Amino acid sequence: MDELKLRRYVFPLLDLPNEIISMILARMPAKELSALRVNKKIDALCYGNAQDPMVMTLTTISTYSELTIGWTQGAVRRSYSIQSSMKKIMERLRRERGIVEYNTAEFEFSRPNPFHALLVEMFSGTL
Amino acid sequence: FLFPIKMTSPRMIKLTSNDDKTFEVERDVIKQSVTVNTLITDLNMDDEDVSVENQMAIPLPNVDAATLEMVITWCKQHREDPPRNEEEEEKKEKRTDDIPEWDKTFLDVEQSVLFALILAANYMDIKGLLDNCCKTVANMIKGKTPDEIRKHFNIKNDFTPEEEEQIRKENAWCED
Repeated sequence: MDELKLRRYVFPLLDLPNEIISMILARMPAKELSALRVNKKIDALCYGNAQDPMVMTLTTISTYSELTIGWTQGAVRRSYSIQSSMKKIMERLRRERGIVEYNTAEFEFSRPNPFHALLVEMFSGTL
Repeated sequence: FLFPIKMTSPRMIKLTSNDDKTFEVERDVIKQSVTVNTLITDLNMDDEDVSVENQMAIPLPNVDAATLEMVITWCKQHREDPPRNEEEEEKKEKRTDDIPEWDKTFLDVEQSVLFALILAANYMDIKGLLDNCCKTVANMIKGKTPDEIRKHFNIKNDFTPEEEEQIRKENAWCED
């Protein structure tokens, strides 16, 4: 495809400033976020720039579980759907680990705790 | 009795694009641009005694004439819009199906034009225009597979095979 055709038919998304790409991605419904894992830059904008693999994994889980990323200042925030997300996680823990109850009142994605470790194990298939 | 009637014409502002084309636009229309609004205030350009002929043009070095013309058209169309409350906008459910019909038609342009409009709206800080442009691009992404997204947006897949495997696992988890 030559330069002219590229300009006409291809939208150079990655040439936009990061804050605008984030604004666009923030408009995507949670169920379509997995389709956005097309490139490292978009991945980082979608799921945060966490260096710690566990935090990155948890951020991904949180997003996949219909929690949304806080688009401002890169902070992770809870969305209106946290209860349904936690229900989904607990159902899986119950099924795979026999855990019937876990205090999720203090659940905070940005501050890893033992519950996170459990989630990472579950997520990576080593549980 | 006959009283003299003072005819008041709308206050005009001059804007110059990066390719040296000057546009005259009503003050009331361009107030939607926070950048221009701030410049007008800072440069004390609201002085009624200065005629438009003697007025300094505001340079917009990041916007070309064709794009600036479109931006002015958008601002004219939306001049009666109520001021946006950003706090309220932030709280609102993020939707992309609420672009007004006029804007949908207006933004149905070549990809390069839409790209230039987004950059101009961002530079001129016109939140309503930027918001609708972002929604338009989000609508282009929706419903596409990762390969279709890469093709449409000319994005290179820079994941290693190991990273792709990890993504596959994570996707399998969320589809469970």
